[in-house]
Amino acid sequence: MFSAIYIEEEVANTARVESILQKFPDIPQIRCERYGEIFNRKAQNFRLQKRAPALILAKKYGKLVLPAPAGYGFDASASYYFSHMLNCVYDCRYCFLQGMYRSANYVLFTNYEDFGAAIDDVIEQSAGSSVFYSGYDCDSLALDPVSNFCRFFVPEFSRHPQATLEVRTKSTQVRHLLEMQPIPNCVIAMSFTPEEAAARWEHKVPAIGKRIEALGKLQKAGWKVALRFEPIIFGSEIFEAGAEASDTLAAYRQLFIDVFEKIDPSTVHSVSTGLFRMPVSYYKNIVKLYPDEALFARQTETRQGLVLFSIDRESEQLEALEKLLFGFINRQQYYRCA
Amino acid sequence: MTHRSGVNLVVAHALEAKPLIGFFRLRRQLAAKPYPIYGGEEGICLIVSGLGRQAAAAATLHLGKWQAQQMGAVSGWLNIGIAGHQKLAIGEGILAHKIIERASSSCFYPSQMFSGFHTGDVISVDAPELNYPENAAYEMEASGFYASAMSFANAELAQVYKIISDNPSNSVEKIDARFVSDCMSGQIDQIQRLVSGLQELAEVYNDAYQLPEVLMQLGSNVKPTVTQQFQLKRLVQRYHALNRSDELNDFLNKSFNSARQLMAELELNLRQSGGQ
Repeated sequence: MFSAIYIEEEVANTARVESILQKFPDIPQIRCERYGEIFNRKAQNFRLQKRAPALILAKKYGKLVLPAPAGYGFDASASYYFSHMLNCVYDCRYCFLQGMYRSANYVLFTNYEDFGAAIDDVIEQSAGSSVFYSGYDCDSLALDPVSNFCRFFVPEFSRHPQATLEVRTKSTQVRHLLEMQPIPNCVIAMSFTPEEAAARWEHKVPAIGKRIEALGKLQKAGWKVALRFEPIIFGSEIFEAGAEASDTLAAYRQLFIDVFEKIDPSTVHSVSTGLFRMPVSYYKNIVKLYPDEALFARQTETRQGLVLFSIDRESEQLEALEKLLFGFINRQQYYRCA
Repeated sequence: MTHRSGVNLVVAHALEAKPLIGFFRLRRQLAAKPYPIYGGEEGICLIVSGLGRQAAAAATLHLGKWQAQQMGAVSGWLNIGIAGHQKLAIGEGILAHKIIERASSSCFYPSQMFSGFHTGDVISVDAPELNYPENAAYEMEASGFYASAMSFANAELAQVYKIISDNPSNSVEKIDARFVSDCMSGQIDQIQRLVSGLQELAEVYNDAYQLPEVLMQLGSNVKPTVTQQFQLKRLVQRYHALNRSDELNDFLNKSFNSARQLMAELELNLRQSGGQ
């Protein structure tokens, strides 16, 4: 699972870290002063490191809860995100994390109590309702059997019914959630792309069918679930030669059929779509990392500091996709990510 | 399995080098001075650095620069040698997961890319350590080697492997030529596994990042500026990524007034028939 575990001296003797280390007695355990010595150093290659990533156990300092980027979420309420973990166990070729970090190692910040206190402070200072996103810099559920993220943070939000926690994931690690009593202000949001796109770009990610199955179990157990059809990447290269752009729509039609066969749309919390977009600097880093990747050889354009793939009749195609989606859900459940 | 990517072995002493030279069938490279450098057909290169971290650093830099003139590809780097240890038995091997330079307290963390090895801390000291105060391998070259190797490779492609030659029960005074040879030979399978692993990683790296030959040919007639060289490189990479490298041959057969014109036509061709 990990090639090694690096442990910051400051957290080495904490109960949470000791409990994690006990699960991996045969993996090299290496002490370090600060996680940045390994994570932020120069002369490392994300692409090679992804072949044998390590886990870094560390303490997070500074601002632990940050305002969410504009247009990120489903609600007009005050929105925040927190990252108890940096990097993802999956290897999605379109993911911005590849361009954001120098290292492919996973950093797990184990001072959950400090995160909890910071969340408490923000909620107390917020006049009305608020939304907290987890899974912006990682996949919160993918490492849940190791991190016990849900066992700490779901009870944290059960004490704050005016605040909502969205856990964004592609993982099927839902056992801890299924063992808990669902709370109304926690939403598990599962991301999907069509089968062809997943096969081409979503490496190490559970199969779509398994993800649907996991989400269905959560829904049946009473958890609020959401669907994130992101990133939308129109184009023909994932299909057989000679395919048309309309094949992307056909692929989404099949995906929607598969999803809504198992997920009851009437109780889905929210459904979103979003085109592939990425900050320019991250995109440039990714192109350097994967110069041989066809996806990044496409024509691009820049809008408000974000790189997008150039698409013929973009609005028309997006609207066609939304029309397909509205065959399954209410418009009130839907939002398009900016 | 043959690889075109290489691995550089850096060893302190000729006694440590001898079993490796024999096993990997290396030959002295006459052109290389002042250090003894040995090379073989499988892309493996060995340099004898001399004792101490400064000597290891200098030899590693020398080999890296010498090699940069010979070939463009990135190589793996491996420092091999004997070391003392508080707990490990004589003849055991240890792959460094942390290198501590005692004089400066600097730490280095080689990425752990290979499973199935005993790993541990390696402490680089300036004089032989006879008391083994910590649970670590004591030696004299790793930190110097690693700092220099980082000039030519990344943390995944530089590794340190030490073979235990002395411990509290077997003093350093017992070490002689035969003993060193036996220590190195006893770990040759593990060393070979590391070398193969590094070659494979270097191969992955070079496959991804080595520049296509056609880039030089395209640029040779139009004299691109430095900025244009980067732009032209990216255009050629895009053709390769989109599996359209064959189309570049058409551009080789045409003449262009300037790099700007060449790039404009390459770009136009990508847009016109790319469908994306």
